[in-house]
Amino acid sequence: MPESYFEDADITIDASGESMKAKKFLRTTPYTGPVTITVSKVEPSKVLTTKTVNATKGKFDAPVTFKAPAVEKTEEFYELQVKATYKKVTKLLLTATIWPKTTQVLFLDQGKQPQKAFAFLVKQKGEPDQNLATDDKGKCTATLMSRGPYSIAPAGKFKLLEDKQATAGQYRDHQITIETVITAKFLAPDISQDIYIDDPDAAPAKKQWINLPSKEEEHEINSGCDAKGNCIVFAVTADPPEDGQPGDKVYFEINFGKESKRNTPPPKLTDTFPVHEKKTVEKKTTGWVALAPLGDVATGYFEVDLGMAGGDTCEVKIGGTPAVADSKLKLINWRKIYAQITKTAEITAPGLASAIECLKKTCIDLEESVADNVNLTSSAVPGGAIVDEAVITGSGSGKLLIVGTHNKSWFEDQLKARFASEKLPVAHIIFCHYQLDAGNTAEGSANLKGKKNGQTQDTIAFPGGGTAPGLSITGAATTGNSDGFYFTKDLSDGSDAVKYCRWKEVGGTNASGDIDAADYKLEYKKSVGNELFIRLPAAAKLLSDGGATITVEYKVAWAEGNNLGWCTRDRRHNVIATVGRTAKQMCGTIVHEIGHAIGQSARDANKGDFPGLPAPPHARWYTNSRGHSGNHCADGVSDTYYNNQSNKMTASAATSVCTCIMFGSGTDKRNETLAFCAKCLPYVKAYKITTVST
Amino acid sequence: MRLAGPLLFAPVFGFVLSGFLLSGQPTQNSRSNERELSMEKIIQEAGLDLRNPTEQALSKVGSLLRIEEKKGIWLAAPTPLAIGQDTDATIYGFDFYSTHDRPGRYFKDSAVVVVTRVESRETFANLVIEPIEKDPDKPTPEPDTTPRPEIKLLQRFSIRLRERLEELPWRTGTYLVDVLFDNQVSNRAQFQLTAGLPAEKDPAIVAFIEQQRAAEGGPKELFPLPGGSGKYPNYRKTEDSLPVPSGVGIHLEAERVSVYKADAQSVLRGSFRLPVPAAYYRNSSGDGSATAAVPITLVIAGNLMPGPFVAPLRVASYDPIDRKAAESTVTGQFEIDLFALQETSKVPQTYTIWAYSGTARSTPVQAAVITPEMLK
Repeated sequence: MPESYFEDADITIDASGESMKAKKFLRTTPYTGPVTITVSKVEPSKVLTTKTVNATKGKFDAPVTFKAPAVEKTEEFYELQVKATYKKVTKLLLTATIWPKTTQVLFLDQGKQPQKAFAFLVKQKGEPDQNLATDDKGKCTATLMSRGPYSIAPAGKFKLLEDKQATAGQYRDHQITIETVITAKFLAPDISQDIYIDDPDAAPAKKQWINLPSKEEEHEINSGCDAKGNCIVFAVTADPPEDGQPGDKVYFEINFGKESKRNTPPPKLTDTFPVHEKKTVEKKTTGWVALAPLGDVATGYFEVDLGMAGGDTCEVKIGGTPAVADSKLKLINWRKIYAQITKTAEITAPGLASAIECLKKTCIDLEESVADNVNLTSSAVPGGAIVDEAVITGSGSGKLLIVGTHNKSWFEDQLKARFASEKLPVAHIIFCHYQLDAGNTAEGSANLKGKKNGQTQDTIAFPGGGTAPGLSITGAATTGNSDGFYFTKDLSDGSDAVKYCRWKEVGGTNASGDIDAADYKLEYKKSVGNELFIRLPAAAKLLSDGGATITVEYKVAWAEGNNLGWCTRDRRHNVIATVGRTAKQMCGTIVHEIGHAIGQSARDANKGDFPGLPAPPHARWYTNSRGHSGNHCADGVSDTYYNNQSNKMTASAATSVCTCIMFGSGTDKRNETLAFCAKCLPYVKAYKITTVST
Repeated sequence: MRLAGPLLFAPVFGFVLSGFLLSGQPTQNSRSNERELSMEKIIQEAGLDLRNPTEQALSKVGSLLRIEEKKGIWLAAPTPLAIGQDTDATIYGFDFYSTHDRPGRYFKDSAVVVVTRVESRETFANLVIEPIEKDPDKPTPEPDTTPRPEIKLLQRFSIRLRERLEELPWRTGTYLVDVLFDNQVSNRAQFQLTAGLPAEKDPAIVAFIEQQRAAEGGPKELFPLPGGSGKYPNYRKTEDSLPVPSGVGIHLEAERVSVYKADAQSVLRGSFRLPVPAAYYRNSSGDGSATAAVPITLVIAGNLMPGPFVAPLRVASYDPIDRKAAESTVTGQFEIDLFALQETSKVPQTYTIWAYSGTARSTPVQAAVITPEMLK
């Protein structure tokens, strides 16, 4: 083993023979006389010094000493050899490695500024690290504690970026550039705030309401950090913040779940803020940002677009090193739909729990905005909207709210302006007792045959008044046995339903007159849409009894229905009838109509709403040609039934098999299941929800 | 059961009403001079301003129709309309009928509005009234069999065309509006849609716009495309072909009853004589291939599940065409398998089929679909 010495060390070759080689040489060749000692560098070969000593019987007369020459600046160390030459014989006395005793260092930051009083470590094998510090100029001359290699490292949370020779070729004149290595933490979003809600099905993910506008402008600092919006500007700093210096790096790793196939906008790191060493491999994106001054806290930013698909997750890890081990958070995309309920005080709104539970599975949070609910009073609503129960049913003393095509606009306008101004999607649910469409009038005329030979007089059994010449007509007959109803009041304005009623003799004297309320009467027969009886008044009866033909003319308002639920066209407000319906039935209707409002069941023409997904429709979609108006889902019906295009999608076909709330009619099974089927679910999650009711 | 009454195939009253109404059936213009049948006169007499209709004026129109006993479906449309100013395109209708004529039939359930933009030969259809979801299983009440005097009823309605027909192109041009109800058809309302610009008063600009319109057209590919393994579609003349109409028009003939099952067909035959814009000319170099893809749209309504079902066709004409002409009147015939069209419904019921192309409209034909189970 070669020996090692510091430069300038005194090297002694003992005359007593401690240098074994010399001892061996001398003993085996007991030589007496002058010996030339040559000290030289091995590489490059260079004689450093020579001297002549005297030996007697194989031993130096005195120890041979010399100082190890300094290690040149251009050398890390050098190998030294000591040789003895006598009588043309050269023997190697010593091989040694000569190490420097000191080294110089200048610490700079990334801005090339000297780092005064900067703590650093000098590390050598077998020695404890030396804790040193620079002077006011960022410099330090360090004494090396052992003969061997060394390294210099910044102390504390700094990272050595570069260690170069201050002057090219000169070792031990280090110019070291360092950066701060910090513990990173999120400044924003702060998911410890109450606004961040756990999603227990995707723990530890917090909900981000991607369809709600963030209070901050998009791409601005803090954008999306109120748990709203699909673009989030992440702010990162050091932990504690005072550790952070401008230029410090915070590394990040973003893992996009991409659970949905929706690809527009794609979940991604945006280009809004400068990011270094950005790299994306499949669902993972990595990079780092440099902290920059922001008030007292050095902060770095990067922005992530979460996409627009409900249920997509995004995990973000950060750290002072590429290991990104300091902090992490996970978000999951949710969509918010508020519910505003408008009704009268007499109507008890059903709980929305079933609807909320159903929509939760699609990452839609239906939240009743209780403060925005409207309880109407009789004086507030348009005439005819609140009527006596007896008007509708023929008995009872209550008040009923009637909503239909005739007054829907007024009720739609009860939607609170804040939902529009704040761009908050809201389902406006208008609960009424009955959903009847009024505003229709029928003008009728009939020639009633008089009593004469060969002809049967047209008579009626007038309610409570015996047989009399006259006529009757049912609401159903007015609408071809459809859903027409006569009522005593015109539901469009609360006025009397009968607008006029008069008679006129055909021929003869052309006598005529009005028929007043005593001679017409409504009888409540729900199965036929109620029946209007018109009896000829005395003057006309006299003529009829005498054989004259009497023309009766009348104009009467009627309404049609009763319908259970209705999503108003264009503005998409839910009108829900409540009489005789359970909360779950009504919730089924509400979810179904919300489903329509968000593009379900998806059809080919709306494939642009589902970028990245297989082009709709799915394998159980159906439309008008199979029954029901619009786009619906028949999931659950058999292949045989579905594939036979002559089969209508009737309620009986779906009973006990229907699995999707988007089936076209409210079967018990549909409302009991109250769920979107597996075929519709990806499209529900992928839909970009911006508005429901407008 | 529907009874064939005097309203079935009700005549289209063919008066030309500059500003309000127009007939597309020149063969029925014989009645156009009869003042009492003139909707225009009635509207004038009632003082009805179609841009700002009052209840009084609308009621007066109804009264006049009743007085003149003009049963049928009547439309009135304001014209011209201007893009950007008239966003609703609301037309007004009057339905005057007898309770004896319509047992079990309800106008609002199944009346269909059809709008054709003449220049592009595009036709769109939808129910007049937005349907309310009803349970298809809900039994229809039996017709009222109580003997009652005949009551003539008049009901009014309005249609916001752009709301009912979301795909209606809103481009300058001439629009024709029909309402179909079973076999009945309304008078044909017409309105012009203009850009609403003062420049349109310049005849040169008007001529230029007309030229541009003439160049409008859809795809030149035939649809449905012949050449498959089956017999249909066929655009060549056969022994079964219908004679070509002597004047501009479309004739239809359908298999009255077809059983829907695997490999079954329901053949609709048609013939036509139609003016076709140059945009629909096809590149035929005398090889016997079609010279024009003639746009004809089928509007099909069911008696139980009305639809409507709209099937745009482009049928072949093999007539020689002067390719320099901006428009050519061509003839041809077609045989289509209705079961093979994706746009049609196969649900068992009776369908009424109409064909439209520009100003031409066929008389309707009926085609019923039944299932094998119904034969057992």
